[in-house]
Parts: sequence; structure tokens; C-alpha cells
Amino acid sequence: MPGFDFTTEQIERYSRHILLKEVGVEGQRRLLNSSALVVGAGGLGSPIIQYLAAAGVGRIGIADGDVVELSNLQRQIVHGTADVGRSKAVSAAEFVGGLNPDCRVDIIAERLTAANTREAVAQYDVVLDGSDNFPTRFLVADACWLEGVPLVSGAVLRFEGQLLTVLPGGASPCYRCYVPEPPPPGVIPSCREAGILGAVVGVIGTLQAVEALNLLLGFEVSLADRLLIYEALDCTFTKAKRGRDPECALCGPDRTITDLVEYEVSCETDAEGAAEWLSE
Amino acid sequence: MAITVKTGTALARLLDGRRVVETQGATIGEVLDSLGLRERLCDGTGQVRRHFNIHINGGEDVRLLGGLDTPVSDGDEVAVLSAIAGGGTVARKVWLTFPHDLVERPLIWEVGRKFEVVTNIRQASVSKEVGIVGLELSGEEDEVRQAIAFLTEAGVSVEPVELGVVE
Repeated sequence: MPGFDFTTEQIERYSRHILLKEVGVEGQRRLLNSSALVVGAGGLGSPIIQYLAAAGVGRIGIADGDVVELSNLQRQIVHGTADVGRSKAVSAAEFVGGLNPDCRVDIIAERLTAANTREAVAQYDVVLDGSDNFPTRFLVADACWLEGVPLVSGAVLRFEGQLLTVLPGGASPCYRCYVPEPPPPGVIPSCREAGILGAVVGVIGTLQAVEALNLLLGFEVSLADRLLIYEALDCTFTKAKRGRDPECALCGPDRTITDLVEYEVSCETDAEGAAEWLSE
Repeated sequence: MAITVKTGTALARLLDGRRVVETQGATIGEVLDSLGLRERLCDGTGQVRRHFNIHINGGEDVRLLGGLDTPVSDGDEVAVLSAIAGGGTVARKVWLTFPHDLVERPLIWEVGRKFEVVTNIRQASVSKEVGIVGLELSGEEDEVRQAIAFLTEAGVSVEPVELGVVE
């Protein structure tokens, strides 16, 4: 009899999932037995953590070395005013604890580095990247590829969001096939400089959660070889194809990246370009 | 031939804030030239910088097709995208304590010259014996980290400011 090991409370809590024939009791059990690492408990991480916890993902890792600031609360909805000054990872973990007792949380209240990222991602079934900087993004993307863990990567700026999924084992182009190297610092403005409409991160973070749940439930994901672009001002979603780069330094036949690379500053050739952009 | 070029918000400033423009051209290179974008998007070797992606009608990045020679035809839609990250810069507030042998060295100026950080003195008390400075450092996280490491190595004691002290 499937589902007899669920408590009455669990059957009620997850009833709207169980009613979906594509999910059902088996799918819900899969979620309860699955794990996800959320990198960044900020604007993207907030809805990700909320929906994964609500869905009953059994173990959620929350990696964030920052503390909550008042200017975060315009979009980082997992935290409250009373959390200002507290660790984001701890604050988000408390939210999960209050929402769903079925979720175990691993608190990683430190910055991911070349020394700890591979070990961190290897312990999870899926990784969701909602980090706020390129060095972390490349660390996470490389670590996922090297450890064979699927990655759902989301990013936002001003009124724009981007989303892509990378499956391990050559099932899809890797992150570096699409973005071989990070842009030099200063070229792409940050949210701190350029701003971000708070709800835009909610859209992208929520889509990341959906994509991760699809993966955990064993559904086919359509963003494995596509980039999804969301333009909030026209309310348009467009997809662009991502191909395999035969010269990719991470997944190509002549790959040169076999362990994590920590980006500090950009290469010299691009520094000129950065200066040119900044002079505008 | 009319080609529609779309950029994301991160690149709209290259087109005077417009995110959609119509232009002409038979190849991606010609399209970029017609908008004065080639030099902005390409590096010294003439290749498109590696954090930009150009797609025709939602197809594969032209980097994996014919690069700047990839042909375009009337009615095509060219998307010029840039990789973006979630946020970016950080601000760290620190107390710097300068021992008397460093009081006269312009270390904060040095930090501003060596690293891509903005230095903002929020409080200071400097005597011949000791200097105590409440400093806000903002910039890319790695730059801020390196700036703090530089100060520490120079012999300055660097302590994080409890939130609210210099607010």
C-alpha cells in the first residue's frame, strides 16, 4: 500500500502534491528523501528556500556568509526586520524550521571557496545558485560539473533575469560552454550599483525552485540546453539555445580545468575594456 | 535588410538605453558595426568577449557558429546578452588601528590606488601615538578582501565594526 508510511499530518500537508498524478505519493516520498544546496540566502535564495521547504525537500543546505542588512529586505523575503545583523544562513534556517518540520537544514554560514565548494556540492542531489558574484558562480558551476551534481543557475539585474540548468555527465552543455570566463570586475554593474526590482528576483528564484523540483521528481527539464531570459518591463520570456563548446576548458576533450579556480581579479586584456565601459 | 537587435538591461546603455533597435547588415559583424558595437563587444583579437553571447532567432551562440561572419537575413532577430550575477559589490565597515610607526603613512590613499575599492572614512581619531579610523570599504568582494589583507600585512589592526556603529 503506497503511502502508508506517511503520517496523517504529512498526507494532509502534501495533499496538493499527492493529487497531481505526475507526483503522487511516490513523488512526494522522493522529495522527502532528496537534498538540495542553495547557494546564497538572498533575493534568489529566499523564494528557493521557501518553496523547497514547503515542498518537503528533506534536506536543504543553505550557504551564505553574509549578515542581513536593512537594504536586503526589499527583496530577500525569507528574512524579517528583526533579523538585521544576523547571519543570513541562520535566519533562513529558522524560517525553514518554522515552516516544515520534515526539512533538515545544513547551515553553511561561510563564504564558499576553492577549498570547500566541491565537498559542499557533492553532498546534495541538486544545487541552486543564487549567489551575487561571478567568482562564486564559477566556483559553484565548476564544482557541480566536477562532482557530477545538476545545477540550476539563476541571475538578475535591474529588470532582467536569466536562468539555465546544467545536467552532469555530458547530458547538457556546461555553464562554461555558455560563459567561458567571468566578465572583468566593474564591467557588468551589480544590483548595488544598478538596482533590482525586488519582485524580479522572486520570479527567477521561484523558477529555479520549480526547475529543481522537476529534476528531483525525475521530470525532463527543458532548460538543460537553453537559457531563459525574463524581461520584466515587457513581461516577456524568451529562450536561447545553448550549445556544447568543443573547446570548452571544463567539459571539452582538451579540457584544462580539472580543479576549482578562484577568480580574484580579471585578466589584463580585459582590464582595458573594463575601464572603457566604466568611463561612460 | 532590416535586422532587429535586442539587448538585455545590462547592455542597454550601449544603445542609449534602448533595448530594441532596427538596423542593417548581412553578417553579425556588419550588424555590430552598424550600431558601433563591435569595439565595445570585442577584445583586442577581434573576437567577441567571452562573457557576451549573441543569438540569432534564439539559436545557438554565434561563437559556436560562424562568429562575427555568421550570416543574418532580413527579419532576423539578434539578441546580444551578457552574463549577469545576482548582486555584486559588498561594503565592509572596519575599525583600523594604526600603531605610532604607521600613523604618518597614507595607507588609506594607498588602498584606494592599489585596489578597486571606494574608501569612506566615517570616524577618525588620530594622534602622534595612535590612529583609529572607522572606514567603509566598498567594491567587488575580492577587492575588498584584498584591501583588508593589504592593511593587515602593513601592520594595521583591522577589526570589523559591529553593525550600526558608523551608520
